[in-house]
Amino acid sequence: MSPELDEKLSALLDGELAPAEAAALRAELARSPELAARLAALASVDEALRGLPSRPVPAGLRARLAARLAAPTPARPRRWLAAAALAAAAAALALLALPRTEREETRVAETEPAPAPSAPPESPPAPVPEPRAAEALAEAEDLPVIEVLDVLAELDELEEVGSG
Amino acid sequence: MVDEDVRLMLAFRDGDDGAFDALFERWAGRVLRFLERMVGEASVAEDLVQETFARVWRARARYQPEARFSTWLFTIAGNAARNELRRPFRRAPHESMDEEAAGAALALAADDPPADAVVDARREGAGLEAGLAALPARQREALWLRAVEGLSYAEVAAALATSEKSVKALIHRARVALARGMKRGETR
Repeated sequence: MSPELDEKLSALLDGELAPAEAAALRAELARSPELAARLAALASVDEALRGLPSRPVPAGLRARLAARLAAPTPARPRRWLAAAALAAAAAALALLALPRTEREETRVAETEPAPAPSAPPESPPAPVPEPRAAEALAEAEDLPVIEVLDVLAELDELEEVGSG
Repeated sequence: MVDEDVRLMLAFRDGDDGAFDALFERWAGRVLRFLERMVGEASVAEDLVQETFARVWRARARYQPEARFSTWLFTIAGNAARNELRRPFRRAPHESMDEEAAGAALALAADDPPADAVVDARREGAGLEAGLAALPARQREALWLRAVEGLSYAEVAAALATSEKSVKALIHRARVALARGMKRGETR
């Protein structure tokens, strides 16, 4: 079965085929038991989904909504707060990262004059924490931007939906 | 033709808060059912139901009855669910149910053996829920809105901010995946 034909079965189920196309497909379904079985299998998915149990709305939900609507600040600033918290975390990480670099420089400086062979094995692991800190920083710095964009996109969507 | 929901929403826009209560009565259950499937966790879904209706409340002045009310409502609910799914550090669905609690629930169920038909239906439902949860989020949303809420492709496309063509593909892929899962369930 071609993928196009298969997709048409879904469109037929959904009443989204043009009348002529639907008639042609129905004629084909009458000729092909295999195709008819496929359609039935797809249709049974929808039926099963509609039959899934749903629980009643919890009694307190409407009251909680009322409290939320009455609150002076809407839920939105929570996201801005999260963004601000992340930015603060990024700044803190940056502060932590700086002294560490300095510390490592001094350690290298201290070990350099020592002729002992035990010094080199110690230095390879040293750079490892730095890329990690850099990654964490990049992540932390990126996140607030995404959040802000999301909020803006959301506002736009709401505007669009609200007006049309 | 103005449907009852549009009439209520217009009444609410024009200052009748009782109309908002009526809309909540009529739609909260369906929105909760949708959001539970979208985010997979009951408490988060309840929070998003509140968020959805709070947005309806805040957007009332801008409401224009150009689309069906349900399309508008599920667009808002879908946006809320998508924002939740994109949140960083989000808990994975079902993570909150620890194994001990799951074990206790199973033991309880075993103490009271229900009729075979009930067991079969429950097992089938659980399999379908799992299959639904495993779908990509957009496929899950598109199929649910079409199959359960009866939105047209054009309405689903508006809700997902995409084209009808891609909605057609999303819905079909979701159906094929779930049909395959159901078939496996039968032969087991």
